[in-house]
Amino acid sequence: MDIVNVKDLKVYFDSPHGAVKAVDGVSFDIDKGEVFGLVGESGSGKTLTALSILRLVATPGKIVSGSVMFAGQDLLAIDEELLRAIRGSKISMVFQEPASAFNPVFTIGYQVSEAITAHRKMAGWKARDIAMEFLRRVHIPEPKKVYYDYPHQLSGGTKQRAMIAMALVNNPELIILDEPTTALDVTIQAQILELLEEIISREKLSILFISHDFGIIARMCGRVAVMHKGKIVETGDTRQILSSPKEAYTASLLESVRALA
Amino acid sequence: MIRYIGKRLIGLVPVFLGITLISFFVIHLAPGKPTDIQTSLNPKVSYEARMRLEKLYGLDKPIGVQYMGWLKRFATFNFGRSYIDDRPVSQKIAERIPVTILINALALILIFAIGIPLGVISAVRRGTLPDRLATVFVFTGFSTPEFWLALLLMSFFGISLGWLPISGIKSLDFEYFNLPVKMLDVARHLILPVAIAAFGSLAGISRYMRSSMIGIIHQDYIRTARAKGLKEPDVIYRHALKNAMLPVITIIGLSIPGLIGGSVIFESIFAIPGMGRLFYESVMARDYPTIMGVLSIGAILTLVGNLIADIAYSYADPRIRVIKEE
Amino acid sequence: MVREFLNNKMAVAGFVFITIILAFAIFAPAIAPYNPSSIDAKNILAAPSGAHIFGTDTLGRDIFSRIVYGSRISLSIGFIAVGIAVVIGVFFGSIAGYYGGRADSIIMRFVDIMLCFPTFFLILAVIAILEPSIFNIMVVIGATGWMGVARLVRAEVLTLKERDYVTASRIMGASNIWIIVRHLIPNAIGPVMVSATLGIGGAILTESALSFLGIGVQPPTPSWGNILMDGKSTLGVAWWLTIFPGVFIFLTVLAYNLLSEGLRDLFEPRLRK
Repeated sequence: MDIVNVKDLKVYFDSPHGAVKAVDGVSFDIDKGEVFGLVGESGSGKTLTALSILRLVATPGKIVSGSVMFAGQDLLAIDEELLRAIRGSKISMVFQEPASAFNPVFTIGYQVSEAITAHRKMAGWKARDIAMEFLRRVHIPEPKKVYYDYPHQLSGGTKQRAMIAMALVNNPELIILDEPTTALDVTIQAQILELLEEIISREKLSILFISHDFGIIARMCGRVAVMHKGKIVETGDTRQILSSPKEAYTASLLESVRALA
Repeated sequence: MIRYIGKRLIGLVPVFLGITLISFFVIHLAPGKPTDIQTSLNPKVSYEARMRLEKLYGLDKPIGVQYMGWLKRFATFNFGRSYIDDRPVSQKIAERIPVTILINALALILIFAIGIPLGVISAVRRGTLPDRLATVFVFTGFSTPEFWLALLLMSFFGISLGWLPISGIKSLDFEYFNLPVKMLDVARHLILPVAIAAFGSLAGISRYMRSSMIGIIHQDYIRTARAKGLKEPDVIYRHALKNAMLPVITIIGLSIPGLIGGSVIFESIFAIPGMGRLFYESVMARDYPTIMGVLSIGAILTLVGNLIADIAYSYADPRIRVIKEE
Repeated sequence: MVREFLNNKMAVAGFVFITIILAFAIFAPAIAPYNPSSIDAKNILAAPSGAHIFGTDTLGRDIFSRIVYGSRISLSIGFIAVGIAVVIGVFFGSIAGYYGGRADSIIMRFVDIMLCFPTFFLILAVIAILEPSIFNIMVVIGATGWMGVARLVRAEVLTLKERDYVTASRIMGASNIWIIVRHLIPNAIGPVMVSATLGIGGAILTESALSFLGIGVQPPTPSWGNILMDGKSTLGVAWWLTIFPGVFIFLTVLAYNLLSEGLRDLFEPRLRK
């Protein structure tokens, strides 16, 4: 059973030299409970694809056409208010740069609690307790103290854990992870990936995992789509693609990864 | 944060010394002895006053000693006696300061209360009619001479419509009013001066707020706020605004000298008994002790204002208020 | 680049207006119908009419002619005062930015101190001491207005001095002054020009305020500000004394502000719409 169907998504940018087709007719389906990967070089359009699912594309980019079916609704067509109810609760997102993804003038705990109270009415202290519990679940040491810390006081790894906690608080059905480890140190990267594996096995979530790193994709994802210049080049089972890629581009992408390894 | 305040205070000392140096330089700008041109061309000044002035400035001593004398007098706010009525300058200033501070404080509140929302609306509705109107308003504000605006408003509201008084801070029969009416009377007198005082800076602040907001709206954490499912008003007025306001605090601090300087104009036009008008009168009468006194106090007020703005900023921005733990 | 500028209608309007005022100033004798100082006791405070399109003042002088000649004062004070400010500002800013270290701290500290004085107070005080003359006014406005330019130039120099062509010059043995003058300053000119055009507007406002208060350009020399001085005493009686000079000041300063915005769009990277 599919949880998300992306069909013929097109995201264009206006420029003095004509439209830049950053995402040009992208289609894929994510199964309920699977970890689906989207891999490609920078500029291939993978982040924009992810942002489009929640209609978070900022001007000058524009979603020109396509559909994103979720729970029987086209997310690109529904009312803003209905979409807002889905963002952060049924579908949540983890971004690449933990340092800039948090508002510097609010505490981490406040921002996590906000994610809760945006969707459920409850007393402030109750939201705080839930937030602290989730901070604990992502293995942040001393969650009660960290709750009251400001982003600049915490390390990149801790912030990323907090962002993952923030994405989990409302028990989402789908989490989109946009290069969650790219901005982190290599050792921290490994820790975060372990945390993600733990969460994936524990909760029954569907995941859209975006990365330029085929190694990480290979570790985390069952199926993967390869993107190049706004189009999907090849989709399929990860191991199969790794061993016998059908397309030339995929093969060259794998080659360059192996060459560096 | 106490340590931060302490550090700032210490940093102020050289600035204070610099202020005394520059004002000392200004006094000695006149060719010949500072007392000569002032006193010999000014028939109102008596021989005694001239001798007292020379002694005050210690003009017979070497320049280094003169400066030390000036520094000491500055620090004790002893600026000598006015030529006009022989009263101590510091006393005359002390009488006038409250009114000036009141008007400028009210003007600051107005600037805050109108400039910031104007800037936010301009930013959020960028390119639409409200933004364009606001931009027109801003350019008008930058280009209009304050004194001309004062004359126009005086003529329109004061003379043609007769709604608002155009001079002083209280009416002639003030003493016969009871308290609430007294307060209303003063308020009516202050409306035009405060409006004039605020006008120019208001345009600037709203423009600055607009660009600050526009910069903030494109930040990653605003996208995160939306992705969490926050309502759009919360995204703008809770997340974006708080960040955009921070630099504005500094700018407001920087506009204080402009406000104080501008008080010369509107206080003269509206016959307000404040420090600005005192300055104007002393300039016209070439009353040098008062001129120097007001100039120096004006600089000190600016210094204090900037310090307050600084402290407010360091309190508001958690990145400064809360030091990172290693 | 010129085409981009021409696209900005407001900036072009500003430029055109300034040219008109400049023409007023240069060709004043040809444009003004009357001698600005000629007193006509029979025509005191005459309302605008065919003979005097802007009316006359308290001494019967034609206001239109006085405004035309007044443009000379306003524009020349504006240009020269800002010229002085730019020279001082570029000097201090480039030294502070290029040499850094103690020179930088001292100069920036000096800037901070100067900024503590309410500028108008300082100008008034100095002119009171030195006596108002057009020369003094120009110098004082310039000497109190260089701080912004200094900060701008310092910031530009700080960025630019790390560029490759500077390093290359140094390796080739160019002296520091050569590098500053030939490489750094020309590249910093953009923001300085934006600031300078704004500054001319500001200088005109300051000069007219000084003249209005009676401590600027002294009558009978006409300045838009001192015509307004008469406007104050005739408020409600002779609206033309207040309206016309004020409109000219407003439009001229507005023109410079629009021009400055236009230049800013040219020189500085645009925010995406």
